[in-house]
Amino acid sequence: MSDQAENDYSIIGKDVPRVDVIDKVTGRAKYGADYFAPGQLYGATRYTDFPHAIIKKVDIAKAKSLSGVRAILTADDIPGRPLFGAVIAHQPVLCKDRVRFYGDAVAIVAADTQEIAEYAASQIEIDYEPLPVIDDPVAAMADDSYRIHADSNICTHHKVRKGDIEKGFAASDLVIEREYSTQPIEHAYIEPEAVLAEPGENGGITIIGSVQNLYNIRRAVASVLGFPLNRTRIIQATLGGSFGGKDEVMSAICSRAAMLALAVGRPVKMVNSRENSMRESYKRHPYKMKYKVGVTRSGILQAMEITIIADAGAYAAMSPFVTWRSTVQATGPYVVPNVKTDVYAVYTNNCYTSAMRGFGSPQVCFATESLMDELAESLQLDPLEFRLRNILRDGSITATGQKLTHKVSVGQALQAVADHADYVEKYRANINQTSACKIRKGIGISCSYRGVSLGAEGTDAAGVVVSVQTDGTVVVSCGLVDMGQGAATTISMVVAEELGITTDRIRFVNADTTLIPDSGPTVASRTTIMAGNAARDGCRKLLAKMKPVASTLLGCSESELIMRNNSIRSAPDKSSDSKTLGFSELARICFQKGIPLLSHGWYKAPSTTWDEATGQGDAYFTYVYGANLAEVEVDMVTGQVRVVKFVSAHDLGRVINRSGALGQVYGGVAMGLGYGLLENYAERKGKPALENFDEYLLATSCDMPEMEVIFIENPDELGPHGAKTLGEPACELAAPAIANAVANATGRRCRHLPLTLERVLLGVDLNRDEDRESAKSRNASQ
Amino acid sequence: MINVIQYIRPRNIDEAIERMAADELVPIAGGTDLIPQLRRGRSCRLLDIGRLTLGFIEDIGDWIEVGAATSHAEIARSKLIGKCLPLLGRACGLIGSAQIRNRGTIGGNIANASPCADSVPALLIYDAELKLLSRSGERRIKLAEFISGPYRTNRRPDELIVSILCRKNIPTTGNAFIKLGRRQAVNISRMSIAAIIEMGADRIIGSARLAASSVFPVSSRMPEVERMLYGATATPELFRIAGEVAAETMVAKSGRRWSTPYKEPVLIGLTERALTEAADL
Repeated sequence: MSDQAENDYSIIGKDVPRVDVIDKVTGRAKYGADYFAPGQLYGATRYTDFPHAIIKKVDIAKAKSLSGVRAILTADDIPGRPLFGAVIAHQPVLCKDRVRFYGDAVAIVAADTQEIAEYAASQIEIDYEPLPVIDDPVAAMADDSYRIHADSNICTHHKVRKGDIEKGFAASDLVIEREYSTQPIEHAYIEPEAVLAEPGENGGITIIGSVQNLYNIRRAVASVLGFPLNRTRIIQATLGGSFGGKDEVMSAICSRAAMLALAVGRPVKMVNSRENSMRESYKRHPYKMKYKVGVTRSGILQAMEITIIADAGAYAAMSPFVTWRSTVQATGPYVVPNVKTDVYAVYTNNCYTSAMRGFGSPQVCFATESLMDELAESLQLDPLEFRLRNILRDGSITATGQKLTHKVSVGQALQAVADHADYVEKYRANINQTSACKIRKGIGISCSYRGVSLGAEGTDAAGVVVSVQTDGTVVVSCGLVDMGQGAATTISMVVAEELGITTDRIRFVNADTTLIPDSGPTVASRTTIMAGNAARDGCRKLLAKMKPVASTLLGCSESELIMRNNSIRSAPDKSSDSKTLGFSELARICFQKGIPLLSHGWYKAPSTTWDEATGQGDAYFTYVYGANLAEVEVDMVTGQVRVVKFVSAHDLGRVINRSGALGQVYGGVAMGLGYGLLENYAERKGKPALENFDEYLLATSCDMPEMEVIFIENPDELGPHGAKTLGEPACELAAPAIANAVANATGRRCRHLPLTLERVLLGVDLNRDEDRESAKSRNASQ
Repeated sequence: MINVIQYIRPRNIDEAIERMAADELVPIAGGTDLIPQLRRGRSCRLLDIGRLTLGFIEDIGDWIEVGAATSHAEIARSKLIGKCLPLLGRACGLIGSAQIRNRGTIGGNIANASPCADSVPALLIYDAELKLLSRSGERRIKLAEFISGPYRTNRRPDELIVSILCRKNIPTTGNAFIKLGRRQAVNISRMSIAAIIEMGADRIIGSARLAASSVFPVSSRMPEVERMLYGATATPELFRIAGEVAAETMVAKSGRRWSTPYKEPVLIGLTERALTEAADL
């Protein structure tokens, strides 16, 4: 799509306050739990008591006899298909004869109050025959391991075969092997899952709530109910965060609420407590990663052999796609002539894992970026110089054999962060700190390339509806949602720029499956590029109808029309007789003339290719590049790491909303810092070892360093005004930059996340092998 | 689901102790420990002390008296506390988050008797005593004797903690309070240490007081360390040895637990750091 010169923009690239900010700070915004319907009941879920067991008997008699209980449903009451899943449809809405993880549900209750519903759920009697708990994905891969599903425990195996690694290792002067691992983490959206399901007219169902991917969820609910899609309506409430987290878990909860609502013929509301949210919602995959890498004496990469085992938990969910992105990006942003990559997702009885901001990249970024520092140390090169000798450049061929035809800016990003913080000097000075020094300084860098949007995962298209009202205000809606990332503002800005109006004239309306076409999921940081392009398409279709009217009124040709700041005028060179027309006036006149003022913009991404056997192909239609730098202080007495300064550089093609883009980076680094230092959804024998934020530790504002953000703008011909992707790249690089900085400070490398006090001080993590004293005392006091 | 069997909110102390005598009630003030316990399945009858005017800080001669319902935030910002009991002010200022400090109270922190309670090491340094009230009258007990084990105290079910008294004039040349958490705020302590040193210009230590939490089953002073410091000259070597004595004492009293490989070197290092800071070495 053609682009205007940067200084021609009246809105793109400016600081625009979020369009939803007043609603959110005044409390006017309605989140899932804020919806009430007359006569509504409250739903509760009865989870399994064992992570892995055969269900022998479910007895609801006692629970059902309680006053105020209106319905109790089990798997036997599912009207349609009992299993859902976008990739592999094997996840039960309610378990019938087998439970596979501790968040599996066996029964649901609708009652007059939340308290009655929860109490009744606890009174359902379930007989189990416990099965062995498979909690280690490596053990689960063994042929003789207990099978979690009918087939092998291996859910997915992706490969890359490029060149000949044996030749590559033979040509190398140094070959090193390293193992890295990452932990499962929780999305920790501030709003737990919440829905209200109402039986509708015509026998349909309407569900409003905290849903991220409306169309996936609608397919799941319709299938569970045995309904056609046009009778299954999902409306997105204002979302209190998602980060990839409100997909499959919401398919389950929406289906359960809908079943209860239809069973009793009344609205049913289901709102998760934080404890239940932690228990049943999926996590980011923990990875075990083995890298063997060969390099010449002069520091040129020759070969990489990569084996990655991802813990999929009990169900496939998005594991096949998450691990596919890892497969494509597993070498990092480097030219490696010979590559052999095997990535497995493996079923266990742990909490299932699926999409989370990064989608398979934070894990491999941690491994490759740690590895690059380790190689540089071995070669006595500084890590910046070593990276610069190997990075992807314009026209480079990736590990999957894709020739990069856009501007490749990973070197630009690396150099930007390094220059900003005097990386090379500080790196060398830190190595020479004396061992007597109790607080040691460290500096570390990391960089990445990232495929934009869905790539070869599947259909990649999105729609935006632009509707000009007769007073010239505009209603915009989109099948990709605002979940807090700022999509409503970004899309409004693109529409405003295109129509020559100000953003205050635009009202962005949350998505509704009945009114807006299926645009695929709001994932893969694809909203700006996909919905942005669709919005431009929609606006252009409108302008094709409106401009002829304007040109007649102003007495000039269409090409001479200048639409800006809510008015239309003819080109300035005809200033002597220049006339002006308000956009609102134009809208009114178009309406009077019977010209349609509603348009549906659509954008389909360019095709991608992928060969499953060799892992070769043009995996994504374009890529983004970024680099991070962290400066830390490590307390050598306690192992405490304090991140004191952070620099992020991202090539995002074009900044649409500057304050929104900064917000993405600040938030991304906060999540990345938590991933690097604090967060761990620990499970023991398939049971969570924690249940709330007292023990699941997120970074606080006090943990955040001084931050610098550098935006690199190399407009991509495929993006709206050149814009691409930022949300996930902003999050994937902080942990390895911090880990590299800690290694620079201490001289010891931590190859396992998170870098807890114990890992940094002792080199190993310590596991609590006893119950909490507080738990014991509570039991005693009861 | 929170299981509160009964909730009463008496208007005055007399009514409160009458109710306490009649029923087994758990006093609740800020609820920052109790509410999470209720969420996790504990059920109880609650007596809300919110109307009992137990939020005060008073100078009563040799002692500072702090009402049981005084919030951590009030203690942290009190000028009187800052002047007379600076370690307590600092400890309370580091508890949890701003919200927890606004709700949580000193009496609750003591009554919950968590081995990692932040206020307790500071209170122990100041010879804290508790004033308890019941229908049978007032009872005064040393804090060190009141906490009997992890999450256990010697409070009789009919007794209400009314106030905490701290000795005002502990000889002090310098002091230190160190709290170690996993992050920079909103921490459950991994360890905290309070220290006071009194010494002359010759650096000969007249007296030293040291207390720690998350080190022993019950937060306590470290007499073994205090004794070895008495009369010695403050040097880095002395404080290093003091740290080693502290760690030996920890292992002797707490045994070897999952966390000992970490806590042993850290207690050595932080004891050394606290004493160094207190002695201004």
